[in-house]
Amino acid sequence: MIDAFVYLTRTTLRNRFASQLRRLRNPRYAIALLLGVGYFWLILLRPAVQPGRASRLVWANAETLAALGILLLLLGPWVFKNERMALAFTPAEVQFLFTAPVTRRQLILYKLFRAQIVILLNALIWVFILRRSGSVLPALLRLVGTWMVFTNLSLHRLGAALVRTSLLEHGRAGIRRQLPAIAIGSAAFVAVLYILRDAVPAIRAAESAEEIGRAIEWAATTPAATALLFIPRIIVGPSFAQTATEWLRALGPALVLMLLQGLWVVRTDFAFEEAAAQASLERARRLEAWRRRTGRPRVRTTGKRRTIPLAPLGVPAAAIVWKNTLLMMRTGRLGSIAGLALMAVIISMPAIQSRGMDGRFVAIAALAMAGLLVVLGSRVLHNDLRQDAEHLETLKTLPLSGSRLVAAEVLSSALPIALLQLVLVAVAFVALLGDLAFPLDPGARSVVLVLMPVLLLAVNVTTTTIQNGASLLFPGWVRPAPLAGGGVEAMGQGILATAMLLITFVVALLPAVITFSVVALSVRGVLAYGWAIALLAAAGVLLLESWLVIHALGRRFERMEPSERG
Amino acid sequence: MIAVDSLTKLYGELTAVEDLSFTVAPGEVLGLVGPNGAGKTTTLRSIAGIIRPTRGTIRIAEHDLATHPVEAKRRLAFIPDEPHLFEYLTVEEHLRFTGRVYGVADASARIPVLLRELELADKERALPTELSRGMRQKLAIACGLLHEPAALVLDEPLTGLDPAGIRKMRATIAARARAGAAVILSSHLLHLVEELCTKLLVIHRGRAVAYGSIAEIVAERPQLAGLGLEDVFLALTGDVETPAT
Repeated sequence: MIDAFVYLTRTTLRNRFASQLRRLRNPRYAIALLLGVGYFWLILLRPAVQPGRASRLVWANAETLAALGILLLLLGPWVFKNERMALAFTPAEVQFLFTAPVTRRQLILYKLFRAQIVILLNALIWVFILRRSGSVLPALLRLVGTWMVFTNLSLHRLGAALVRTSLLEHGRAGIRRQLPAIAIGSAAFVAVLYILRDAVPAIRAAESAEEIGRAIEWAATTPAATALLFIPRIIVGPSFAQTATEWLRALGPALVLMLLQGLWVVRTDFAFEEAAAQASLERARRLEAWRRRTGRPRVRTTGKRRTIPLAPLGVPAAAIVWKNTLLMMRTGRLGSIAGLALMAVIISMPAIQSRGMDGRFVAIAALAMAGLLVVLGSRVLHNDLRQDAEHLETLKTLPLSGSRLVAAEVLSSALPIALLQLVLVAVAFVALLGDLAFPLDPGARSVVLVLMPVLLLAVNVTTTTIQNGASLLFPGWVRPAPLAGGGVEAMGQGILATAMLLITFVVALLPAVITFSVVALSVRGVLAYGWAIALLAAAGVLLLESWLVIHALGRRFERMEPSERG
Repeated sequence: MIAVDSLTKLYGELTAVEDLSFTVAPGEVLGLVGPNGAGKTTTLRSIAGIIRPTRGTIRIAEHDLATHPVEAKRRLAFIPDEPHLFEYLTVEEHLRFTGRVYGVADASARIPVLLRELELADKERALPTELSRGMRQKLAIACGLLHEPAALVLDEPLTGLDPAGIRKMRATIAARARAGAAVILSSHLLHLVEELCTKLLVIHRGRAVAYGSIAEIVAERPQLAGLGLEDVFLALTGDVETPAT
């Protein structure tokens, strides 16, 4: 059976590589590849910078921070219901493997084997991204270390997914069987809360990066933290070794942990199989449950199904925004966005009441989050053509021009992101109400708040247009859902994609920045808040640029054939 | 009216459809038949606006699909063999969505009628994942019929339907044609084609091998006289020799 899995993986990879190569005959793909390679070549050719003071400081605390991050990632699968991704199989795998005389354990081994392709690729990307992080370890050793981190995380996620599935399907019996794992997970979660209770006041009181680092290190030395970070430190050990000897010493425990986790995954499955009372019936039911786990967000099929009214007449493209909003509602994304906004408001309430330094802290945090959403919002929320890629044929039969359809799809993502940012900006505004020492005077802050809806819409329409443009221009490269697993081990590709988005966004910003400068200089001294007009003009330029691009993308959509997605 | 003139579709070196011309007048039902890989689906998808022809023109109710796609598509309904539904919209919401996109002013009144006609009335709040294959097909058909299209293109419309559903669907297609719609029906169910279609277009390897009513096709080929449609089809597509009469 292993031979068959190896054959399937090998031929899939070979054919995929061949089809990507064939795609390069298309000038669009060839030029994009050249630009991408050129960009990375330039980065590689740039003389290496010696890590400075800040870099050394980050490195000194990096191991603890990484261990904390790993701890959260280990706890994640127990807290969040993401087993769907860990157990995701492609429809073809479901059709051929689930109906084949293959045991569940063999399927899991196959899953582990396939995950290694993603893990290896992303380990390479991470080593590349972090090549100037200050580590003196040879690249190959760092690669092995990173590979072990990702493999350990991947195994843990799969194990947790199996345990959760077992719990769901076996009720009390499942709980008894998985009691040790549940107890460890719960204890760890409680301990994390204790650490946070101790660490947060110290971090908030810190006035410099060094003090923040010291506060984190101090929090990590408490007995609860030491116990909790024991496993995460083993996982990150090889990656943070400074010499080959240290690396070798750290490798052993990490390797043992990896093997133990592998055994746990297989044993979990064994227990799962063994416990089935009516083996064949149960298996069919479980396979059906597995079949439903695809890579796309799951639509809730239970609970009250609320809807939004839609008038039969009006702008036809509004129906696209309407249906995408319903998708957000039914996959829980709208709830998540509203929850984030609500959380921002609730967290800021005490600060707003006190109007002291806490207010400034909240304001800066809210503004930082709003800023982060400029880049990450459109990367995370795919409520547009990227999500609708599978419905391309249906969309193409609709009596809508390509540009109107693309515009509606872009707005479906841009509007909710802008709305969330607007709430965050409003929170910052309120938090700073009593703070007269803040660099921006209260009058200017009010002007900014009034302009924000337009500015945020312009910025988010631009970033979402770039994302949708990529999926329309390079449908063979941009995929609507990850091929496997997901998780931090698949984040490397995401980071590269985000970097490309940033570069394109910066290029798109240039005309807007020039417009801002020209208008601001022209009205300086003439109007009290002349820069506000300049900001509006810049937003107008961004929207105009986006409209021109959307128009071009609309034509591309009309010409695009479903077979291009490959 | 559906008018196709010199339709050609190339995929690189491969010719999927070559120089295909035909018209379907209001009230007519054209049966599009051919063996697997003959180019039927390519033809239908070109007419539906999913793929762009390499050469040739397609006109729907006098609107050129290439130059006035929105106007042309507004008068067309395409019902594919595999229903592509939005998994997050309920049955009723699919119809409301279709109504808004096609600008159906009285959609609210038409929706319950269509749901009853297609036996989906008790499923109006169900998501596609909660429907059987046949019901999903019925929903796709309901969405196609909501805006009362002047041109109806159906690709294997009976796939997944139960016997009662098949009978109802046959009646629905006939009723739409009587109401003045130009219908193209692609199906391997030759008895259905024989029963419903006023004209036949047989294609093989991307080219038309016969076009006209069954009587006209047979009249042009005396060797086919007296044969059933299945034998006529097999003889035209050259898969078997014409049986001796």
